[in-house]
Amino acid sequence: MSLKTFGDTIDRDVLAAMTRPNPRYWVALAVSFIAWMTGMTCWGIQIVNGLGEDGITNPVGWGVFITDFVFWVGIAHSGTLISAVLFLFRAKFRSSFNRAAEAMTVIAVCTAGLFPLIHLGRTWFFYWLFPYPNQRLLWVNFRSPLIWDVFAVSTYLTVSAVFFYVGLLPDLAVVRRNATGFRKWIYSTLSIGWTGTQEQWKHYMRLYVFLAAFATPLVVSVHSVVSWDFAMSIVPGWHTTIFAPYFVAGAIFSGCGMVMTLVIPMRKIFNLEKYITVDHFELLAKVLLVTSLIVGFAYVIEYALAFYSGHLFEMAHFKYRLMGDYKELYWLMVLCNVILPLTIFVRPMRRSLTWLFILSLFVNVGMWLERFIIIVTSLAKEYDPYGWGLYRPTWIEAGITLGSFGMFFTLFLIFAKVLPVLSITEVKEENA
Amino acid sequence: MDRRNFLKMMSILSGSAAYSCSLKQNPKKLIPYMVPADDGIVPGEPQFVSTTCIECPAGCGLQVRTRDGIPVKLEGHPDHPDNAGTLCLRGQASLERLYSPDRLQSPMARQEDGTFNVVTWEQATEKIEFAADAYAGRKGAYWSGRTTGSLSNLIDEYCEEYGITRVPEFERYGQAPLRAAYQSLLGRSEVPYFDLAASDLLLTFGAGIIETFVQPVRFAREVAELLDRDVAWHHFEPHISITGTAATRRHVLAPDAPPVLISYLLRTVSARRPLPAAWMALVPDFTAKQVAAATGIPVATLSELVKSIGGAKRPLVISGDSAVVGESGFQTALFTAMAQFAWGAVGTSVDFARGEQVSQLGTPADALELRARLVADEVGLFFVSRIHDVSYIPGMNEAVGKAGFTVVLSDFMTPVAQLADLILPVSHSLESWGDVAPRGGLSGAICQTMKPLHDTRGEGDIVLGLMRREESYQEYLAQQWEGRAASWLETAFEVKPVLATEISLAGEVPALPPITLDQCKPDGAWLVVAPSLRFFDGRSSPLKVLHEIPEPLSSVSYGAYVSISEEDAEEQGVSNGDEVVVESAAGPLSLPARIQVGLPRRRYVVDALSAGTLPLATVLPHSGELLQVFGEASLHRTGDHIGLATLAGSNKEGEERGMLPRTYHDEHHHHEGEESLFPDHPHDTYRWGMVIDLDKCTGCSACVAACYLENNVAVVGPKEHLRGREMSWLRIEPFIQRNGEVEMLPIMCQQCDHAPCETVCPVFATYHSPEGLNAQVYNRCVGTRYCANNCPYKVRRFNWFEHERKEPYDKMLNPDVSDRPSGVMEKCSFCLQRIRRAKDLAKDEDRIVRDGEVVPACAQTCPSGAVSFGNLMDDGAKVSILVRSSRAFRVLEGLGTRPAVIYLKNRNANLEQGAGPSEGEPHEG
Repeated sequence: MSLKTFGDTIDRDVLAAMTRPNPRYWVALAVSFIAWMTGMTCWGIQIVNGLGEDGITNPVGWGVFITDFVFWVGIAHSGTLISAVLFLFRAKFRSSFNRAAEAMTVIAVCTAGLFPLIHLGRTWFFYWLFPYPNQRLLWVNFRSPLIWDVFAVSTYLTVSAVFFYVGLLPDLAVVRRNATGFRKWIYSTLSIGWTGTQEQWKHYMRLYVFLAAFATPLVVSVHSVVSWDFAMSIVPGWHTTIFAPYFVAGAIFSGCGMVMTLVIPMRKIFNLEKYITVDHFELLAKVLLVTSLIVGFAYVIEYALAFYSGHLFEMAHFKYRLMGDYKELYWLMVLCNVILPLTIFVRPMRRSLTWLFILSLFVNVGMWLERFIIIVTSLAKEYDPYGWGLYRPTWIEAGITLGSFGMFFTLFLIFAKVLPVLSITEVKEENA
Repeated sequence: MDRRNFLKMMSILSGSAAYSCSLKQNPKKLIPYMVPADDGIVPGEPQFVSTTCIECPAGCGLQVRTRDGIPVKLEGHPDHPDNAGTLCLRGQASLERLYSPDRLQSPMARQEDGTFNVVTWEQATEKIEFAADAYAGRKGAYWSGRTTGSLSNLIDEYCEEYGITRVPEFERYGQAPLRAAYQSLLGRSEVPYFDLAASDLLLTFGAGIIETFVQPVRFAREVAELLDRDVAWHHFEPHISITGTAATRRHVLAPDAPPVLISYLLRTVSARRPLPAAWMALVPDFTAKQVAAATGIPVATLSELVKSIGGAKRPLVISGDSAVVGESGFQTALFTAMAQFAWGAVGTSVDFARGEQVSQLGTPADALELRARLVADEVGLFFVSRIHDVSYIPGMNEAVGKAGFTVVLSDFMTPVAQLADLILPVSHSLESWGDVAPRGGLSGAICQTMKPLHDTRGEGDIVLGLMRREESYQEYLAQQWEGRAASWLETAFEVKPVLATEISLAGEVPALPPITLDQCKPDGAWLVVAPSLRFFDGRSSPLKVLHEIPEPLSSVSYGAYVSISEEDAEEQGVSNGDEVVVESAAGPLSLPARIQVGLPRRRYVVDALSAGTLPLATVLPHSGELLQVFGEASLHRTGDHIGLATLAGSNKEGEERGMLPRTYHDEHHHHEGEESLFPDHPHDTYRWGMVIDLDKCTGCSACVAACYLENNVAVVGPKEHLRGREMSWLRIEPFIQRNGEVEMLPIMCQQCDHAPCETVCPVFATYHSPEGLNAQVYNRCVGTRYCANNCPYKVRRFNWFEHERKEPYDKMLNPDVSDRPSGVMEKCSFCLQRIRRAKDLAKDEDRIVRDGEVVPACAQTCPSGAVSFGNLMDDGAKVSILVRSSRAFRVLEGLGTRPAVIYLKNRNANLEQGAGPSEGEPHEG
């Protein structure tokens, strides 16, 4: 009997989050939406006038846009990690985060996917990046890491979306049960006839395990491929073999940070304290700590490799990164990504949600800066001293970046209202 | 609907459908090409018209490439005795003078409210005639820049007929001190022909012989030949210039020190033709130690100089520019003339028979005389022609305003034109007929290439119009040209043998103040106002493309600036672009500072354009030249910062990163390529390659200008330059050591065999052609800029915006090269259009392209002949031979990109001279 009661409570609590929103939600949605539209306007200006509206220049051909791209791809990582990897390892605490994390993944990949388009000189020809048959027999260059990117990101988007949707199925059926009218029709359609029979669960679990197993290597491969955009070049500061693991760790790190940023307020707003407990956050904080240590280690190793290489340009580059024009940003990054996360070693601090929230914001900033530093400092002072130059973003780039956050939060807010933010069935199962 | 209505409807519908499908606008008829047009124009085929360059008074021969009757590129005439097919950057850019939208397009008269109003030529002529009557009491004056040939005669005719005084011509850089010195010594107020080719030792004092001095293109060409013959060339200058850095030895010498040094040399070197004692009495006798102390040139170097001059068969010494525009400038020029005489150069390598045509040329002192006449209201009708700016002569602008009626003949709204009562727009030389006689034995024709674009006239036609003559200037010239060789209009130049003139010491010994050593300080503070490599005396400043090309040493493109040394910058806490005030006898000059590595301490250098209206108030005695170097200058910071479009990220190689190979790189194998894991690209017939001889490259930037014009490289303006978005496909990188040792490195797309850009392009917009070219397909480019990021040479240029080309600027576009839209990447193509053309011609004749048949625009115009281009697959080709040189290397070879651009440089050259500060230091790590 108690089981049924608990199940009902979960249903009620989670579904309560999906009822008519309060004014605060509307304000949040409006702000996000305006930010998104600001970004779209900036993009429009950029398309009409040319890429010269941005701060990118000779020799820094990539700036904030690629930084944003890598940042959002990074954010997209924890969703699959928390969901799939923790599922495969039977880590029970995942059930409190996985839905939000998966939604975050799908939305972040969509956001990330826009940036390669935004940064194109001729956006309107973006489809040339896809290998499609055409009468001129023009194909894409399969040697280009950018093409690998196209495949990696689109694969990741597809798999993440399928994984997200499959995970949602039983919950959609729960929502359908209580929905009325048009909503009922939608949720019925979406739940594609889920009735929760033994037979369905049997097939479902097999599919879910398979998808989890399929998605897990993607966590590693996608961000490895993204890192190869840099590692496959010959730019000092980019061309290094540690980039793949370094980027994957960084992605998980930033993804965990973003999960915290999203889930801590969500838990509060939707009154889900019962299901998402401080213990869960503590475990997430530990993942954050481990990845922070890996990232910090990678920072040191980069210097060691440059020093060991004896390559004049590599050494000069890392000296520049440390003490050059962007040194303030570099040291801020070290503070955010390496020093502040060390506080997680202290038990009271890793159990303080306020601190974790603040820390997660620092991590977001730090990881954004990391990508900025890698991209911009490497390009600013490359081989030819005559060709050196500095980069300063313009308000167009700032606007588009703001817009990407606007888009992300708009979509996330919509998600939080139209889909169950917790995996109802899994929480039930976990508490069974 | 019944049958009838149905038919009505159908007829209406089909009729209107047929009508709407028909071509209503611009029906284009395809006219088959059967018989060539009378004027020989073949659509799509280039045609060449020979004429003469008038961008500066040197008078280089031109070959204008026209397409469908429209000039699209200027190139030197290959047979011309002076420029031999090459041009300087100003000559290359001169085409923009024709198409500039800022050109004056019709006569304009000043109205009562001070603004200009468009008038017709008839009205303009009437106004002039009216003014001539109104100011009948005052004498008219015709003041022009240096004029030679028939035009000069015509102006004389006009002046005579109408009672107008032809005042001495005015040139800011008219070499007045040289003329005065030769007048004093030899009784000839002339600028001789300096025959560098005939000398085996060259000493130049101040004279920027490869920049602006007399015949810079010829000098640059001859200097390269000197270097081929291992002839030593010592250049003495107070600052740092590309002439100095091109010389085999550059010595820093304060502007007041040349007479001391030359007098020492005159006294010490045994003369072949000794000068009379009266002349030698002018030459002070200092000991080597005294001279060393006063000039800062060590005794060892002095004795070395004396030895080499004594040992040389035909030493040539030339003074000019900064060395002759100081207080003792006349002495410098005179002692130089005496040295030329004593060392046997006069009559051989200093040839007066082939000297510059300067008979009508005045001095700044004459300009001051004119000013006095103007101020005294003595001038009524006042013509000013081809003089663009006189605001640096104090009171001259006001004086011009005082003339009764000022008529300015100009092609742009120059500062002088703004003072006019009537502006007569002058046609470009390509739109008009004419001739020049720049120097003895040489005359050049100016052949009309196209009809005037605007309502403008050539100066000859204007003068004929004023004389109310019916004939056109072309007809006038036809009479003048009677008896010319048949090839006159074909080659547009004629060389006549000259009679050697008897040269004797026909002058009088002038009374000169003695040279003392008291004031001579080797490290004195000086403000030097120098001619501008890019704008000459400022006349080329309306040409935007020249602003786009950075000054080679400072790498500043747009804007005025003063160069200061690193030490001064450190002392005063000045960083690049900080506004500074240079105080000197000329008054305060406030400009943004450019820290020039290699510039001696306490030397502040501005070019003629940057100096702007800085008053040059002192006219030097004897020479009548304006004082243009000012001692006891001082510098201070205003605290303001003005952005300076500096294109070089750094002028220092710094941190031993090493673009150019040095010996200390060898032990670290820094510049050695490694075996590639990938197979080489197969090439069957052609593998295009370029060889650039850095020992010959002077950094004169002619190639850069040629590239801009040939390849329709966009001019993007100062705002974009400040953001580092220049579009140049080819640039000159100056790498300057602290001791003033400079290496000029022309960098363009290196057309790598293993190109980093090719692998990263996602859409194959850049790919490797079977001929080894790194082809860029603009139409396929989506603009990821990944290629530019991955290019270690940073030669790829992205089109940040759509480039606006105002009418008639669009006509300047080379139709062989496509215009690039916003959002695509572009770069050097090795002048693919020229390769194509040569291959097409070869195919017609069923053969492969011969060596030397393809000449890219940069190689074509290089006065030093530093650039060679050809097929590396052809073992006998010039490039293949040069590539095998022990001096050959590729930039950043260690990256394994295997460029097709190979540089030649004597690696140990600067070692012998005790080079770079970083020399010998171990590199970090």
